[in-house]
Amino acid sequence: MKGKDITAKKRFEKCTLYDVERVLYKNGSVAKPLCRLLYCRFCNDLRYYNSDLIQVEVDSHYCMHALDNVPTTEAIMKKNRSRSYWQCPACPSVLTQKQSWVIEENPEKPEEPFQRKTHYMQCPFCHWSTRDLGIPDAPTAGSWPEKENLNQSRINELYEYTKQLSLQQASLSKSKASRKITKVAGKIGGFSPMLLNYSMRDDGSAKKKPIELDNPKTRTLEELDDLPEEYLSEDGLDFWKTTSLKQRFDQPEYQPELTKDLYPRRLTMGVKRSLRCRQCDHNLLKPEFSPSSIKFKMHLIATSFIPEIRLFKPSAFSTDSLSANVFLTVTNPTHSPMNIILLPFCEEENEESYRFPKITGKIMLPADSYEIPAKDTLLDYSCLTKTTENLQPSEDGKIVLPQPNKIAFNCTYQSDGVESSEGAADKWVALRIKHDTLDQKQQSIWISHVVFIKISS
Amino acid sequence: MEIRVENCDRKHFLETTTRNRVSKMAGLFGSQNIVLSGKVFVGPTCVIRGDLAHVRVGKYSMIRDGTILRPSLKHFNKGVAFVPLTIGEHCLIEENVVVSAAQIGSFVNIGKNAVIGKRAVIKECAVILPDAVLAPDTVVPPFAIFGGAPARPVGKVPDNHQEAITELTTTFYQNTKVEDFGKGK
Repeated sequence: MKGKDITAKKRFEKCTLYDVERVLYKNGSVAKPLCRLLYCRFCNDLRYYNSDLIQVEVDSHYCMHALDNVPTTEAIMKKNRSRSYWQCPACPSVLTQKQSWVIEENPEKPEEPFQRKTHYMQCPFCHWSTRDLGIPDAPTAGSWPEKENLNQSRINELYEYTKQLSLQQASLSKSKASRKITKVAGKIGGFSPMLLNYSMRDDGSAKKKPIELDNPKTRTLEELDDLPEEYLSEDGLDFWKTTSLKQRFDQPEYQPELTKDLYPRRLTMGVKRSLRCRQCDHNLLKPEFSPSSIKFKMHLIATSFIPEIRLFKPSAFSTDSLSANVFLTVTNPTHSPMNIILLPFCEEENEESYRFPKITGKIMLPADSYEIPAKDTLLDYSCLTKTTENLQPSEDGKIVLPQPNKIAFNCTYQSDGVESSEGAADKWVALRIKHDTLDQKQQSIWISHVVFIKISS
Repeated sequence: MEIRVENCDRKHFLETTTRNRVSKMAGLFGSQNIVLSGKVFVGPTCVIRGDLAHVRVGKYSMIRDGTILRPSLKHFNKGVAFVPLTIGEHCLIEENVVVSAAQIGSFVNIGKNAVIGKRAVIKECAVILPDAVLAPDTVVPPFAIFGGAPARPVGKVPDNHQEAITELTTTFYQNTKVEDFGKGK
């Protein structure tokens, strides 16, 4: 995805559905919401998308506007840019093709001029058009010239040099494992795997003709020009004619400073990717080939295997008290009954502890093990009761909810009393959930996960 | 966190034979062109402009308070024509959204105060963030998160989105049971 905005992404996590950032499952050196984790049922462990244990493979490229598949070779050749759709240089919208009629003189019959259809592109949002830039109208839709990149020869030179380096590296490593990795790296990185295999057979040929790079035409900081005086004068700079930083970063090869130099660029392609566990080499996620399909051939998402802990409602904290009631629910997502045990979490001091939320207190958990019934897909979702007053705990502390595959616990939070001033608003607790599951041999095994829960509102 | 509970007052809602729950304060114009497929929730002060073109809303779609569904028009050489508006199943459209799209797929979540431009196409399992302004003729691919003004792709939806939003819309509908109306505030 292009143009990632961290604040917008955070906003998505907080605003939607269940406020998923409240409950984080520890996976290696990160703590992530369960919906962002995968479960490898062959290794019986959680996997995070961006971790080293996940291998990302690009299945197919597609145009994000037309939603049609593009062959991988063509996508590489087009530099992952769409064939027929262009993006507005001033805003991220897709340009639309507009028709207009031009009256031209008829040399044979001057009294009867004929009309000719022409096309131009216009942004539906900011109304920027190719006519603003002075690009002549095209006789057919889609036949737009691409702006020439002045640094293209240098980029090609660097590309060839990098390719040669990778070929040398590949020829040096003869082991089977290293070959496999190089093949995948070639697929992801844009080099042809066939070419890499060929080069591996061709021993040392890449060494014979080394490409020598010219010195880069860069300047040291001392040689930078001073700020032009027009920027410093009172009315010397017109911001309407100057591009924003975002507009410049959108076109890194040109980086136009003035709005009159903005040129439309082709729309970036999207990719369908599948994820593979590096330890067992099994596919964890494999979408269907069609770009508009939402189905998966393989879909080992963690929420389908791991019991999900949710906070029923934020705990109420008074100003003086150091304790509060915490109302937790545990859902069994599988189609077989599941036994769970909630255990206290022993904090381990290590180098990576700063990556996890700071725990502000302890939570008193029920000591027994509980069996949660299986999920019944035929049963309609029953409503949760409107107040928690009707939900009385049984003798063992368990609260039975209308949904059969969900149980609730009323626990007590006890603060440590040493909360930092900046993190006083957020109160985090941690616990370890242990549950049984079936492995590949259909034998019951117990696995456990550390869970961080934000109990304050 | 568990799904929030909505308190609805029975006297302000109508329930049709196909279990659609429509607020009496909602404005439905051209009702002969409006098709609610069943178990659809239409909140107070919603406006559905069926007098312009056909509007079809799929099962278990929740249209929250103040949302306007308005089919868009397209200019042709010989005049203009209104494009029918189709909304899929299990969609959650939050408060004060203006929808002029041509098609909204199933399992789509549109945040508060968003504006969906004319003839936009939102594919299945996409998410539009609150306050986003989607430009006309935009196509939002599946599992994409669009946000900002004008909206641009900002991320990828979790792969369990379909199950999550199905549970959300179904529970939301169940929480506004007719028997329970009046027990709230």
